[in-house]
Amino acid sequence: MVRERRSRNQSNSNQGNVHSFYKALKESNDFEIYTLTGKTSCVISYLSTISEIKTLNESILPTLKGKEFQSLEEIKANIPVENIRISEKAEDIKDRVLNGHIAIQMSQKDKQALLIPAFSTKGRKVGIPEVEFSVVGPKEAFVESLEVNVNLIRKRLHTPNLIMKEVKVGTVTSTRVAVLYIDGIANPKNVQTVIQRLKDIDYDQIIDSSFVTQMIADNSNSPFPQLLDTERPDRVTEALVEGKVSVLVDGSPHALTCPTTIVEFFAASDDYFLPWHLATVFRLIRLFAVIFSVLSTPLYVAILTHHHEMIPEELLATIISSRADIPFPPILEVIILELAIELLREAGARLPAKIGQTIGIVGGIVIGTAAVDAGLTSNVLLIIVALSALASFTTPVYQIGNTIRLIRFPFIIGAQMWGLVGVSMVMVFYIGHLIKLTSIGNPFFAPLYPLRFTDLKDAFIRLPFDKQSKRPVQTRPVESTRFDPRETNKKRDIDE
Amino acid sequence: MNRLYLLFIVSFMLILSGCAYSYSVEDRNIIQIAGYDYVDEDRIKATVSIPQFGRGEKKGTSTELTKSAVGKSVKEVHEGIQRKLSKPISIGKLELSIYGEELARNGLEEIIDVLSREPEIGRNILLAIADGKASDIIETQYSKREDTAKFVTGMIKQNTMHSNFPDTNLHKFLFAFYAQGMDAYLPLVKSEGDDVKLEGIAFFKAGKFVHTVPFDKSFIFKSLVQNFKKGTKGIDFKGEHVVLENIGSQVTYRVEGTRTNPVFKINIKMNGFVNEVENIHLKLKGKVVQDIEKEFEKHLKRESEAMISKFQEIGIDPLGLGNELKNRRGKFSKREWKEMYPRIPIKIKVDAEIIESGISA
Repeated sequence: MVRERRSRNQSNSNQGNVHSFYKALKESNDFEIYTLTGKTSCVISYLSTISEIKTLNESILPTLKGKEFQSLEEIKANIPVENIRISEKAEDIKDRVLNGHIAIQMSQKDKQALLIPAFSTKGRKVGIPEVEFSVVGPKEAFVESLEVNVNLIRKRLHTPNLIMKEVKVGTVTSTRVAVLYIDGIANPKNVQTVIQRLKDIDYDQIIDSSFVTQMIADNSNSPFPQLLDTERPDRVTEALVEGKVSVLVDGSPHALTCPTTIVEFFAASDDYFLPWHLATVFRLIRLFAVIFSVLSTPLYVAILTHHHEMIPEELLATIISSRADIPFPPILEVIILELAIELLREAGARLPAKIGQTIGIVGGIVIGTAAVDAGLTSNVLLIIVALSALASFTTPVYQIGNTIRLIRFPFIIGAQMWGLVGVSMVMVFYIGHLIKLTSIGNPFFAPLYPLRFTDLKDAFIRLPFDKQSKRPVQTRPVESTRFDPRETNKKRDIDE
Repeated sequence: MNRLYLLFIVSFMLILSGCAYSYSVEDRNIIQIAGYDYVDEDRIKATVSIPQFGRGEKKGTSTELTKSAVGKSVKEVHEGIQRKLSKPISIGKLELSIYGEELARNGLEEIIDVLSREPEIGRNILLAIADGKASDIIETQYSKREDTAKFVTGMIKQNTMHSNFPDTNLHKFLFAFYAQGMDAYLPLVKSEGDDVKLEGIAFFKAGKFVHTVPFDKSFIFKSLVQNFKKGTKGIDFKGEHVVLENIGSQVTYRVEGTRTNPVFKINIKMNGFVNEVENIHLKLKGKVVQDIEKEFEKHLKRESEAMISKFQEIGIDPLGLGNELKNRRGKFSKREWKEMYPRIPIKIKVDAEIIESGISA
């Protein structure tokens, strides 16, 4: 997707001709253009659906009607609205009118236009995060407006070094994409890479930040997301201070942060709001849950078909009597149940919340018990599949949860074919892939490979804040020191 | 080209995996206990018990199926058993292998060979010698809740872990069998009607069962061969019977003298507490405790010396003294050792300490 942008002839605007663009817009019913008569005669044009009529009624029209103006400069000086500009460039005029500016021309033939910002913001209010909810900590989530989203970040970061660069992406949608970083912390190389890749996107539409994730990812064929997406402004702030770069897309309630690592996907914002030992335990539980979720059913298949010697004495009777008389081999049993769980998930995700509950009950209880009673699946497997489905929901980032759903299936197939050897072979493939993977040019499998020993302080465990004196090496920050640990540990006199 | 090559390899791996037979665990007859008996010079008889698990049945009340067959080798008798079954047998979960007395007296070399070659069998399975016929032990049902395999294995294991019986398993047996200057020993079990019990320790001489030590002397033997923490021993003390519970014993072997003229010193250090005294008026304080300690030391020394001299007489070396000598002095000759062994002085020193004598004392 990242390609050299081809210069193409844009259908709606002929370079340097305002009129042809107006002609296209005139087809739309929400485009208003009329000649104002009275003391000043001028042409007013705007898109009624995205421009604030209030600005026109309260600030522009009274001024225009009260006095006689000869030129646009004169009007500009008198209208009490900020950020008015006069432009002659057709491209500029087009862009601004489409973004809610009100254009005033002295006459229809005039090239020059006065552009008054009157963008009306309509949309969702800032709400609580739904996907990444946390009991403690801030409860604001991004919305679909870029301005609001940047506002949510800026109000947490009072530094002039927070830089926002805007890029327009999408040949038709021309979506505003903002790149945020902290100058002096973030590595300029990462910033440049992100901006360059955004500029290189050649696609007609950018509807959501996930479009950008897939388009600027280092390896778009990988099941692993290489940019972390979040709906929490506090999480983005944290990432920015660590020297990461954030990408916000207008119209998307999810911000992207990069470069990221695989362990970051298993770190929840709660981890930083809780004392470090609690956070560490919960993080380890989460990691264990992920491993369990991926490997439990493959191990079931491998052990039951190939290595029954491994089943402990005490479990043997339980497993055999639950498996007795089941017509399918373990592999089919597992695939049937896994697909059933996936069906439930898909159905649950598409249905309204109230019906979703019913689906959960029908799927979980009715189908599950009935399948066991009918002798189609063993109840041991039902427990394993249900637990692994539950475990896959513990991931704090939704995207990696989807990855976990998918990567289980190659393991199951490997387990059926070669037993534990197959499981380890698939594991080798995945680890090889992860080691090769990069996120905006930085290793994705860090801090494990390449081993960044200091970054392990906030990977599988989270050490207390006084041990976090350095920012992660992985992002190669310009300024890597958070604070001087020697200064902190110095004993001070009580009078000091 | 490289990719094509990879594609070939992967697709072959996928296709070839279809050639492997795989049976799910419920499609196998899982044997957990197997017994072998002597038929005649060439043939052995194998008896196995196969638990039958039914769907929805309560666990533990599984029924068992006992099958036996006669053949020339272990693999052949297994085949003979398979002829009578609906599912293939699998010995991967074997926990206990029992050999009849007669078979053991005639030598177990052939069966040991099978055990040491079979990759499916774990190295920590138990072996045992039946006092009588192995099939008698397997064919009897001892408990309504546990199957034969679980019951007999459990009996040996719990006596090893919590009582006076020494550690045995396939690995230790094979090590003793193949090591130079070392002889193996196994548990001896006996079935008496509806009961099965640990009769004692069976000692081997180069794969042949030659000697037994009764269960009441197994404490002595265990304290000679390994460090352990649990076990009880009663002694006579001034006409009373005092029971000591071992709560930690260490045994160390020292080799003194030369390669051809060695002297072995075995030190046993034992901490224990007095568990049971016949005469409740006996005050367990000061001198009395020291006297009991002395008596205990004397008793243990006497008994172990008697046991070892018996070993020397028969020419078996279950303590692995020859191996010890080989490790410390080098240039080991099996023949020389065989000649020298019955005459070697073996000195035993027991250091017992009673550190506790109960609440009321």
